[in-house]
Amino acid sequence: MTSPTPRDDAPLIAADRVVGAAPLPTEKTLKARRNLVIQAGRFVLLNARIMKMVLKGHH
Amino acid sequence: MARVVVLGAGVAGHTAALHLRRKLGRDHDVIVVSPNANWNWIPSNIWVGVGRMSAERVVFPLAPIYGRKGIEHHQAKAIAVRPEGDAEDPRGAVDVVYTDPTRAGEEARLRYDYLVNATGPRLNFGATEGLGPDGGHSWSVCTAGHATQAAAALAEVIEVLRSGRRQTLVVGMGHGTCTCEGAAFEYVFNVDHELRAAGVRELAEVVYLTNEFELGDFGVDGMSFEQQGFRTSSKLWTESLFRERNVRAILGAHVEKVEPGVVHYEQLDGTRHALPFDFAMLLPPFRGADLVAYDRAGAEVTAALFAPSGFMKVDANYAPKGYDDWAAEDWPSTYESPAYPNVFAVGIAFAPPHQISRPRKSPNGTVVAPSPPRTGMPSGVMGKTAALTIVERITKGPQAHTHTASMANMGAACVASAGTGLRTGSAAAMTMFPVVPDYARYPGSGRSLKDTIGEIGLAGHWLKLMLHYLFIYKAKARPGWQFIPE
Ligand SMILES: Cc1cc2nc3c(=O)[nH]c(=O)nc-3n(C[C@H](O)[C@H](O)[C@H](O)COP(=O)(O)OP(=O)(O)OC[C@H]3O[C@@H](n4cnc5c(N)ncnc54)[C@H](O)[C@@H]3O)c2cc1C
Repeated sequence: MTSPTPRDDAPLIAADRVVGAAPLPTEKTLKARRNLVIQAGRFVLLNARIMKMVLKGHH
Repeated sequence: MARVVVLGAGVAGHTAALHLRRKLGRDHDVIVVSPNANWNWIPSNIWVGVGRMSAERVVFPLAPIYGRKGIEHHQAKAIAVRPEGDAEDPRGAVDVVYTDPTRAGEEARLRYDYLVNATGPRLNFGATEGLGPDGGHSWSVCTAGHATQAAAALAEVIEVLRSGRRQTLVVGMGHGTCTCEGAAFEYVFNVDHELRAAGVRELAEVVYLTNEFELGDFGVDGMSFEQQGFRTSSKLWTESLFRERNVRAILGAHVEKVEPGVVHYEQLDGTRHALPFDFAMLLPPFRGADLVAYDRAGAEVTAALFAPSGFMKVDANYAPKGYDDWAAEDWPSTYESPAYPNVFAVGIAFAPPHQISRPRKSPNGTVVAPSPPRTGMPSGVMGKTAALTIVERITKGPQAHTHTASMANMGAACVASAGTGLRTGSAAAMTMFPVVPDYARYPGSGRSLKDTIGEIGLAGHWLKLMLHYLFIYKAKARPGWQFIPE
């Protein structure tokens, strides 16, 4: 029987260091991301942005 | 009377065929060759891959639509192109082998006046030993069938987690030259969402294994955003999401081999590592359809039409240059073959002139270079552009106006789902303009800061869901389909 491959965490730890320095969203931001009224507004804005891009790219 | 043959019925080919049929009179023939009987809305395969959507909801049969529209459909696979025809007929021709069960294996030669190659990617699982669900040891979500298998495997892992045993789930890229990082990114956050919904997230380690040099690269060299008075990057924005959701990352990796339960990879610093896993979804690198080309005498001229990657050469500047010497104008805009002006390649099928993300090599010479993504929106636009040029040439003559749409002048919207549910869902929505950075026009980041944005929230999920219904409606050619932009 072959022995299981040993786990080698160095690459994960290196990336953890980078990711660990990223900003975490505050409770307020997390709530805003789920707030139906705010998100309805964002939805309209996102669609408008995409439409603008579509029109800009067509020849 | 003209005959237009379209190879492939994916985003680019199907869009081209519908516009050709809409614009050309019935005295002209529009013929689609596609090995699958069904159309697949590939972006929603992500939801099939976590068991939130059935495969039936992302595919539908092409035959009724083509029947209704008067498009001739051959369920077959193209194998060779004869742009100068053969001894019998000087018109261009395509050799096909039928996959239609009633004619399986039968060969035919289809003549054309215009050809649109929209054969998309060949999923090149063979590039990495042990990669993929067919004879390999990892799952995929590239087709609806693959995604269904991945969902079943994920459900089994969730059952093991429920019994209290820790599990490692790896999601990412199965080779150093893969593209479509956005799809793996989406899948990893959907897996995270499912694990949370099942109440087993703390027992699971979720790892994103990627060829990207840093998070947020997405094969487009990352993006710059302006947010609340700050210039920020897709790197920081993506890292923040990874930190918040506790998804670990392995960066700059080329997967060398997948064994049962272990993935072996090399990193950019040349070190080699192994990561044992209980579940792995690793995307394959893409190749072109590997069509062969012959001249009229039957001599092989594949290199005149195709790049060594199997993708078709079009009006791009393929002269070898260093990464920093490339310019936006080097990208194609008409998608016409320089060798044969009645042949076009659109969507993933055209050969990109260079990487958008900076290519890198490990000290061992291993290339770790995300390939340029050619996502749905640009693929659809290219399909329509080639169709409109062909229509003009057929109706007004060969000197008619050539339509253009360069990826250096085209935006893309990438809505990466990060969980489903009308109230609980989330998505990272990104728009960028242009896809290929133009540093002359937009000094600094190469893209318009007004049109390049990134945001996370429920709105992105609604947008993704809306696109699912909208594009399936459009692909079914229901009334008014032509008013839905590509
Ligand atoms: C999992 C996943 C998720 C994605 N998510 C998104 C997303 O959210 N947003 C987005 O914009 N893009 C997304 N993409 C990318 C998107 O799917 C592609 O941009 C798009 O499908 C490319 O269109 P295409 O027509 O070039 O290729 P395809 O859609 O793949 O179509 C190729 C067609 O050619 C046919 N074909 C193949 N070989 C032959 C042959 N020899 N002869 C004839 N026909 C042939 C195929 O059967 C198929 O019909 C995703 C991709 C994947 C894999």
